[in-house]
Amino acid sequence: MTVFDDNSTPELRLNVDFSTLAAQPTPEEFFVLSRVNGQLTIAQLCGVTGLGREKTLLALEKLRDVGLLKLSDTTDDSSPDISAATEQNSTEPAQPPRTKEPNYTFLPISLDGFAFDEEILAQQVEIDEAIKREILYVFAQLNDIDHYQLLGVDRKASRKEIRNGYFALTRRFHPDLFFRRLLGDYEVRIEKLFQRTVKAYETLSHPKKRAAYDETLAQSASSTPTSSLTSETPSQPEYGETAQVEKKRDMAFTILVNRADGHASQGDWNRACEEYKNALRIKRDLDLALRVARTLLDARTENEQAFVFASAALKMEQDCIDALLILGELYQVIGAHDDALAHYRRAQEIAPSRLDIQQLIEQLNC
Amino acid sequence: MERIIGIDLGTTNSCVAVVESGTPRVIPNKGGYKTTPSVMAITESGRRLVGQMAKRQAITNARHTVFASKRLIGRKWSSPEVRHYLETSAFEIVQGPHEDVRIKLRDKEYSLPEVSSIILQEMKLIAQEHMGDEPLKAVVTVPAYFNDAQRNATKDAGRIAGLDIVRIINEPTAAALAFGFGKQLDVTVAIFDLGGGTFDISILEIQDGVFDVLSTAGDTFLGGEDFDARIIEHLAYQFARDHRIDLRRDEMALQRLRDAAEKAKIELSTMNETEISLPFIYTLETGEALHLQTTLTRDKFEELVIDLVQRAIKICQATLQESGQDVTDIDEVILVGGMTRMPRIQQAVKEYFGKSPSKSVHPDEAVALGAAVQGAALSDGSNDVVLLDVTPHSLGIMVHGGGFEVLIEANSTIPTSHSHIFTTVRENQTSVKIVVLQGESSNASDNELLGEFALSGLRSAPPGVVEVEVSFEISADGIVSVQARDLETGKEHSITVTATSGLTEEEIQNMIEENQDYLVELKKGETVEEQRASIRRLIREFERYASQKDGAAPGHSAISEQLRAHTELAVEQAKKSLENDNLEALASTNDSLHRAIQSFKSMIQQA
Repeated sequence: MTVFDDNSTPELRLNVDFSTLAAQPTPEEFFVLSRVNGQLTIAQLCGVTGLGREKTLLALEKLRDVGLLKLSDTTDDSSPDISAATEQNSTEPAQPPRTKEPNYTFLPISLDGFAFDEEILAQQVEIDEAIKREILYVFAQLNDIDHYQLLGVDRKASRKEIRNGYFALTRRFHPDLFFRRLLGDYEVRIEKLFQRTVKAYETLSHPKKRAAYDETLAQSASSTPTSSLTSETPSQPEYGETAQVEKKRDMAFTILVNRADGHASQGDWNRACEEYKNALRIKRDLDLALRVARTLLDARTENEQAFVFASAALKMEQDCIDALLILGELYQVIGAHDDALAHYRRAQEIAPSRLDIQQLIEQLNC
Repeated sequence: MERIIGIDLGTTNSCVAVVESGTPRVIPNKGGYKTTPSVMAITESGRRLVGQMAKRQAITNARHTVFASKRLIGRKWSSPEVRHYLETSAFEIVQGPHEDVRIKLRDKEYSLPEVSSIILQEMKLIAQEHMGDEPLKAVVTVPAYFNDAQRNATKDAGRIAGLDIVRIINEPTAAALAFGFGKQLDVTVAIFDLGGGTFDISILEIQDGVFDVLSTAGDTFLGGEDFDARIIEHLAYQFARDHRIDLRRDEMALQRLRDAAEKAKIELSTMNETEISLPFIYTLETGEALHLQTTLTRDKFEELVIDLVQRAIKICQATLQESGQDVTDIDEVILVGGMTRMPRIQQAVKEYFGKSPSKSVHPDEAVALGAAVQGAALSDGSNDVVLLDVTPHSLGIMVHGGGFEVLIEANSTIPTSHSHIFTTVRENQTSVKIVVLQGESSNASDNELLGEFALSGLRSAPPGVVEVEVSFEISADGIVSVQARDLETGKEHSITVTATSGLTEEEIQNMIEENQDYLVELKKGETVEEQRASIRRLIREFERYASQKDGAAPGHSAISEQLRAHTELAVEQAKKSLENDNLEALASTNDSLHRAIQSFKSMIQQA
C-alpha cells in the first residue's frame, strides 16, 4: 500500500464519467469519496469517515487508482509510487485494477439498508464485527443472486475481472481465515458462502460453462418477465439490474453534490452550479434544489442562478411553499414587487394559516 | 493461537521451518544442517537412530536401515509400486494384517505411519530445540498427487508422533507460497517439483497473497531415487558382465552402490564426468577381492535416465492443458526439489515452457518455508495468504455394472462437498453398498479403492423407488469423508476412510502409548552429559567384568584374547572420547562400546 502524507489534501477529479470507470468503487469507497471536499486532510478524513484509518486509507488509494481522486501534497508530485500507478493505468487500460475489497454494489439490498438478525449478530463468536455483518448480509441474499452479482461484476466482465471479484471474496470468506475459531451459527454460513463463491468462479471462468450459464440466465429472465421481485428463482437478473442502476445513480448524485458543495464553500459559484445541475439531472431531488436556491439567494450575487434552482424546485412540486417563498423573495430583491406578491399569495393559498407568509404579504403591501 | 511450524516430510530429506517476525526461516538441526535425511535405523543393540546418524551407519547396517519409506506410505501390499520396491530394497518388507505394508527391523514390524512418525518426531525435536516452547502444531506437506490413503497415513504418523498436524498441504503449493509470500504479484506460475521420490507439477495464479491452484498432477513414483537406481543398474550390469557376479544380492555392496550412485549423480550436475571407485566391493570364496572402478560421463547418465525426464515433461503437458492455460501464459517456471539441479532437467523444462526456469526459491527449503507460511496464516487468521488448492484425483462411487460415477472432479477447489441421489436397482433391495473410489478411469475397478460401507434397512420396494443420498466431502487437507442417507427414514451411515492407512484406530492408540514410553527412553540420552555418564557406566561395567573373569579363567582361547584386545581398544577410545563435546560422536561411541562389550560378554560366556 502507498504511504500517504497525513497532511496532504485529496481533491476530487472533475468531470469523470462514472460509467467508464475501470472498476466500480464499493459503497464504502463511495462513502469516503463523498467526504472528500478538497479541504480535509488525509488525517482528518480518517477521523470523519468512522471507518478507521486503515480502511479509509485503502479506500483513498483505490479511489486514486481508478481516477476519482487527485492526491496533491507538497512532496508527492514526483513521487515514483503515484506516477507509476497512473502510468500503469494509462498504458494498460485493459488491465482491471486489483481490488482487494468485494464489490457488493450488484447485490439487490444495500448493506446500509439490510435488516440484520439481531439474535445472530449478538452471538459471541471469534469473528470481527464488520465481517460478521458482511457474512450475514451476503449469505442472506445468496439464493436471490446470480453468479455475476455475487462476484460483483457485470455480465460482460472479462475473465480477469471475474477472477478479481472471486479473489476479493475469498479474502473475506475463505474458511482458513476462521481456522479453529469459535464460529457458532456463522460456521455453516461461511462454508456455504465459500462453496457458492467457488461454484460461481468455476462456472464463469470456464468459457463453455459460462456460455451455458448465460443461456440459463437468459431463459429464466424471459420466463419470469416482471414479477421476479417476489419470485423464488435463484436468479433475478432484472431486479438485480434495476437495483444496480439505482444504486449507481444514488452514488453519483452524492458525489456530485459533495463536489458542488466544495466549490460553493470556496465561492466558486459557477462550477458549483454546474455540478448541482448535473446532480439534479441524475436525480430530481427537491430538497437539493431548494437548498441550493436558498444558498444562492443568501449569497446575494447569484440571483439569476437562484431563480433557476427555485423554478426547478417548483417544477418538481407545483405546490412547494418553500420554492414559492424563495421566488417571491428573489423578485422582491430585484424590485419586482408585483411578481413577488403573486408568489407569496399563492403560497398563502396553500397554507392559509402560516403567519410568516401573512407577514411577508403585509410588509410588501406597506 | 500458538505458533504453527511447517514440516517438509521428504522422501530423502526432511526440513522444518517457522515464521519469525514475519519471515519464514528454516530451523537447522543439531549438526547445523538445514535438512535432515529421512532415514531411520535400529542398531544391533536396539537403539533407534534417525537422520544423519542413521544414514552414516547404513553400510554396516543395511538390513535395518530404512530409506525412502515415504514411497511405501499408504500403499497396498499388492500394488505394483510395492512389488517393484521389494526387488531393490535392502530392508525387509513384509505384509501387514490389513493388506498394508510393514517394515521388519530387528524382529519388530513397523507400519509406515510409524516410520514416518519417527522422522516427524525428529523434526519436532529440532523445532523444540530452537523455539524453546513446545510446538505441538504443524503444517506438513505431501506430494500433490498423494491420494486419500497416503494423506491419511501421514496424518496418522503425526498422531503417533504426538504432533498435531493442523493441515496437510501439497508440496508444490507450499513452494509457491514460499515464492509469492509477501510480494505484490499478479502472475501465473508453474511449479516443477522433482524430489527424492515423487514428481509434481502445479499451475497456479498468484495475486497479492491469493494462491489459486488451477491444476495439479504428478507421479508418486518418479524421483531422485529412480535416477539413482538407473546408475546402480548400470554399475551392477557392468560388474556382472566383467565378473559374473550380481552385486545387488549383497546387502553391503548394494548399500555402497547406492551411496556411490547418489554421489555420482550429484557430481554430474556440475561436472562432465565422475570417477566411481568402490574398492573391495566383493570378496570371492577364494579370498580374492574385487574392486569396482569406472568413469561415468554426464552424457551416459543422461542417456540412462532420458525416459524419466520425458515422463515428467509429458505430465506437464497434460496438466497445463487441464488448467486451461497456454505455455505462453506461464510467467514463471519454478524449480523445486533436489533433482531439479540436474542440467538435463533444467534444459527440458526450458525447452518445454520456452523460458528459463526461475531459481528464486531454494529447491531444498522452499517447501518447508511455504508450509511455515501457511502455518502462520492459519494461526493469525490474516488474509495476507489465502490458499485455494485443489484435489488431484476425481472422487466417486461404483455404480451398477461396475461403472465409476464421478461426484467430485479432479482439480476441484477444496474444501468442497457434493451430494448425489442414487436409487436401488433390484426388486425389494433393502441394502446398498457404497464403494468409494478415487481415480480417473471410467471403470471402477481400475481406480483406487478408498473404502466401502453398507446402508441397510431400506424399505422393500420396486427398483428405482427408494432413494439414497450420498454426500462426499473433501477437507482442506484433501482427505475424504462420505455420508450416505436413506432419504425416507433419515438413517445415516458415514465413513472417514481411515482403514486404508493400514492401521486401525486401536493400533494407532497402542502406538501412541508405546511412543510415550519411548520418549522417556529417548530423553535419557539427549544431552552430552548424559551420553558421557552412560559411557562411563559401560567402562565400569567392562572393567568389573574383565577383572572377575581374569581371576576365574586364566587360560582364554586365542579368539577371546583377540576379542579382549579389541574390546580394550574400544574402551580406551571411549575414554578418550569423553573429552569430546560432540553429541553425535559421543552417541556413536556409546553405541559401538555397547556392542563391543555385548559381544565380549557373549564370547566369554560361550568359552
